[in-house]
Amino acid sequence: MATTGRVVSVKFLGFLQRLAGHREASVEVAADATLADLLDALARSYGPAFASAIFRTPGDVHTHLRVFVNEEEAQVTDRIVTGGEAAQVAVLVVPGFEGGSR
Amino acid sequence: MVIDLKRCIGCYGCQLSCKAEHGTPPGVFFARVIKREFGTFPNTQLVFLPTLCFHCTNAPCVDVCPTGASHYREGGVVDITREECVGCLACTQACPYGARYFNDAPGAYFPGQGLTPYEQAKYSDDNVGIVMKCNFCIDRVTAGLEPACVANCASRARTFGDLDDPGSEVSHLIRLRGGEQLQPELGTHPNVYYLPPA
Amino acid sequence: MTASDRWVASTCGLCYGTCSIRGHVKDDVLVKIEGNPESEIGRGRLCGKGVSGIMTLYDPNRVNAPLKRTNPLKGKGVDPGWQEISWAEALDEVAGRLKKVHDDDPRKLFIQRTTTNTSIRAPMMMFGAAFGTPNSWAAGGGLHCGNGAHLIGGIYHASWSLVPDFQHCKYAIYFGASKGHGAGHVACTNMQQAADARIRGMKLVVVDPMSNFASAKATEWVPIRPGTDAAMGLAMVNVILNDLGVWDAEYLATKTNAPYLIGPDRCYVRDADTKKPLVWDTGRGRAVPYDDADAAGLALEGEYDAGGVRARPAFARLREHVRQFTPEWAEGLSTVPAAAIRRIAREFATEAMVGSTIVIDGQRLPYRPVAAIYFRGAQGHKNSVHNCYTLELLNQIVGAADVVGGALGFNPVCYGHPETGKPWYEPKPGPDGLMVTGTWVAPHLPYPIPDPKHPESMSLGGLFPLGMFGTTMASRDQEELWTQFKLPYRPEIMLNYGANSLLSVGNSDTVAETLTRIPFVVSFEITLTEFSEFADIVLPDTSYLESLDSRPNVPFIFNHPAGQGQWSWPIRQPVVAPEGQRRQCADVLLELVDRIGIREEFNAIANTHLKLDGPHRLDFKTPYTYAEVCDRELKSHFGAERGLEWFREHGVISWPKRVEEVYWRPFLKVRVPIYWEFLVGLNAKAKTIANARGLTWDDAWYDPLPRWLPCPSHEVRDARYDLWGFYYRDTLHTNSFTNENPWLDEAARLDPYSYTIAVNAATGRRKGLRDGQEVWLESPHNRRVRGRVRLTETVHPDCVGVGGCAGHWAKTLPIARGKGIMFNDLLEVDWDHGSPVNLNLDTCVKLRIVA
Ligand code: SF4
Ligand code: SF4
Ligand code: SF4
Repeated sequence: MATTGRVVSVKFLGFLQRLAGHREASVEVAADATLADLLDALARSYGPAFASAIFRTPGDVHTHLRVFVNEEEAQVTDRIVTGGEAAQVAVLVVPGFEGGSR
Repeated sequence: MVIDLKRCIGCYGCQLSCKAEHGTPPGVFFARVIKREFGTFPNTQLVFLPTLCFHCTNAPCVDVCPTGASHYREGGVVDITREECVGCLACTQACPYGARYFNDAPGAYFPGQGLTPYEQAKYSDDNVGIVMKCNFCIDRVTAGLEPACVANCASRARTFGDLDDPGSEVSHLIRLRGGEQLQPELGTHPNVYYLPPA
Repeated sequence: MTASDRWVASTCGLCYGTCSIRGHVKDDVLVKIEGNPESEIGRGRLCGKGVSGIMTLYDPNRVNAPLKRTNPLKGKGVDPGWQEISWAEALDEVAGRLKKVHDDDPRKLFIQRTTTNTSIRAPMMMFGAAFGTPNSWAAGGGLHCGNGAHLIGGIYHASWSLVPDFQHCKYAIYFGASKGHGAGHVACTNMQQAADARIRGMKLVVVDPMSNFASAKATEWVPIRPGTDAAMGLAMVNVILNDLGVWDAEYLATKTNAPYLIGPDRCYVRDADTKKPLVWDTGRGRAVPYDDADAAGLALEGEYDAGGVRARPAFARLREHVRQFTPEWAEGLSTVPAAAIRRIAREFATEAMVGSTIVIDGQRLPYRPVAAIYFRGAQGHKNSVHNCYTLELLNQIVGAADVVGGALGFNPVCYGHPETGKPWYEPKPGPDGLMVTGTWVAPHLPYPIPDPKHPESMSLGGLFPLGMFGTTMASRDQEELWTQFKLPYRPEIMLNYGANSLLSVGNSDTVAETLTRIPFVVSFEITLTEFSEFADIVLPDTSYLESLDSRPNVPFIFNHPAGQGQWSWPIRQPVVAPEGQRRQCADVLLELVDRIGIREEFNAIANTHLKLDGPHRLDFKTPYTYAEVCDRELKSHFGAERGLEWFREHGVISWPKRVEEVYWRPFLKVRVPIYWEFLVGLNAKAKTIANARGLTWDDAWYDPLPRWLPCPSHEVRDARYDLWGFYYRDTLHTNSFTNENPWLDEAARLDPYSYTIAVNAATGRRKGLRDGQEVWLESPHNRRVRGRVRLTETVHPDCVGVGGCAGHWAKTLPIARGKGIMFNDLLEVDWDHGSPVNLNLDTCVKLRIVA
């Protein structure tokens, strides 16, 4: 595991903004961190309400969770890759209004 | 025309597409759907019976018409010449199938609120005080289309064609499924056949 | 075709069937609506409603300008004193209030929409998500029609609903369903396919308290008491498994969790390392993870030592469990004779031809020409989950699910247009190998079930993850429950799109009370309804014939014809230009997005929700019109050259379906649960949260195996209430919406049943009732509605049936006013009348007839 961390800027969209208490944050992650690692870190720092909005069940994100890196949708298993620039990560939960699972 | 009572589900698509096609005023229907119950619970059979003018070969409505407004057209279609109808109602009484409607007064679908743009486009003052009925969508048929009720029926319960041609689909269906006229004993010889519901 | 005489391809909006239409416009007047023969959706033929849309468009009672109330008093029949205002004034006020709520607590926004016009679903969902509110519902939709049926459709078929494979099915049983008989999802194409199936000789058994649309065309009508479908279904499953010994072992072993070993705690026995459920591999004589076993050797029966406990395969458990449900027991509840239950079970099992195959398009596929189909009738009860779960098991045990001839979900698999490969989706295996749906636009994800949590939404949804919508959105005890669950906010603003919840939810007094508690209500309307009496601002919407939408018929799992044939993606476009100051709701929403300052979230959501792709994605920061969003959506799916302009001209794009899309089950490695193991854990967790809040809990509803559970209407002991009342969907009307259409109203007045109370003739005679007599229907809760009796042989002697959702009283609906009966006025909307597992409302009521 690489030790040199780096900083990504995270934007909380929709109701996550309310749960996080602000719209944007800078988070330090490991150089080889995946988005899942980032989400874990966020869940730890923002508490259980935020965590349960992200995770369906511990360790498993909601089917409705969407993550964007520089406006492009990404998978949580993806590494936070950037072209040298600081990554802009946006996190959002789309509603699963239809057919259970809110 | 052949109407398949096994296919028909009583959706009223024919009755309403006919209304839309012809812009018939309130209370006037060239095509209608009638529901009838047979048997007793639990052996109940609900039958949907789509109707229209049967364009009878021996049409009593034509016989009784004093002005000749009701007449046979080429191909057997029974039609009414609007200008010649005097609204005497002899034909509405003569038709044993209730296929004719007297349009007694100018109507509107939103009473007291004037005519909709559609009604303005479709209604004609010439229709008031005369008898109206289905003419097998003669204009559509001439243009190579099927009658509106046939073209729209989602269950494909209505088939239009030449009963005189033994090779036509209608003749084939009548033979295959045992098509029958409604009340043949009246001797009117309707040109609409029904295929049995079961 | 000239400018003054043209045909415009578009989409019907008079029910969620969304058939493709073309409108004939002459001198700017719409003179005819026909089906669009180029589209698979309706195949050029429409129902009676669809051709009558002209009268909805030209209703002189349409709203033409924004309105603001002057009378602060809200109530049923109280005139709001509407005053016309400008759009600028209306939007200033609406946006101002929304912004305030958004900055304070976005959950205070409550979004309500109709189920009828499905085009609004995506824009409203995206708006709600961007705003950040979890509070949205379809005004009683779900409570009545979908919490159970769609849930089960999703879990077993990755789809919204199911139909028999009309092209190949030989024996279908409908439990309170009417697929193919004039209304509902895929109405018009289904009508054609069902009629062809009848002529081909498909047998249809209809289990229903009333013999109307489907039963009239059935080979056999089986009258049943409402809400007892599971009793009959359980007895059938018992007969098939235990008396006849018929099941599809290969299907069960490979496509379901039937072989998963269940321990004494009713849960899966899991592999110590991988935590995967274990199965018994008879070849190797030991328990192995389910995905590590040889399909041929999987045990479905027996008892084994696995993981240190005595365990049995789920299938063995099921088989044992259903032994208690004898046909005689079922007869007592359902009134269906035990002999008939045995015979129908045998016919179903025999016709299933377990083990047989057929070659379609050169591929050898399983052939199971039977289908058990359930919908609103089986589902509209407190016990909807167990009803639908039981009935679906009929398909599952004989392997008749998404194979040739069987029960087909609506298009859970699509591999896209041949030139672009889009839209592309398929179900995938999720936790424990069970199926997760693969679709977009309206996420339909009953599985995997999220952990229940302390509820934060008005519906208490978080605690009941199997529910779609909950009664507390408009219930008598709403405030009590919100207090009990410490809901930290109350609704401040309601945004309503075209729903008339006064009529559509339950008794109107309860609904009215909940509405008056909301300080500010904005409603997009085409006419003023009973709901509008509770609005503060009404915005004049365009009708479906004046609107644009790039996805009127998606998602395909909701409303695209199943079975072989074609894919069609049509658009909706204005057939005529909107009159007055009408504006399309989606455009107004986009303006509100900008005024509130949530463009970034909206655009992000639109990208993922609509699957906007590559260059067609929305920049987070750029404003777009709704037409631009539609254009980008079409290009994302069908290529840059097929945007809105292309679709405006062509109306629809179609391409052939592939056999592995239609009969996908054998091709995909997904399993479905015949044993609902996840309910055990869900129950424990949800119960803990509920008990902590003082809510009593009944574990029976969370049994991992199906049961019959009584609804409130089954437990009324007062003998004066001797009849079960239910409503059914009339072919002429879509809920309360079309009552104002004078062509449809005229036809309904001439119809013997549409606007009347159907009473069994013998029952009626016994009570001294006359045909046409005016009577009251009275509930044990002292609610009553008035209507005319229709004595008929088409209804069960213990029941009365009421057509549709009519009985309007608003003066602003002169055609609809006073016609038909508002059955829903008899319904209680409270916790006791909802399901504690999926929040479904009980839509049956025990009642008496009072002359
Ligand atoms: S349109 Fe066809 S199915 Fe519908 S009522 Fe008429 S004949 Fe019957
Ligand atoms: S059905 Fe009636 S109106 Fe039509 S031709 Fe026969 S008699 Fe005349
Ligand atoms: S089924 Fe629904 S969408 Fe289709 S034509 Fe009828 S009302 Fe319109």
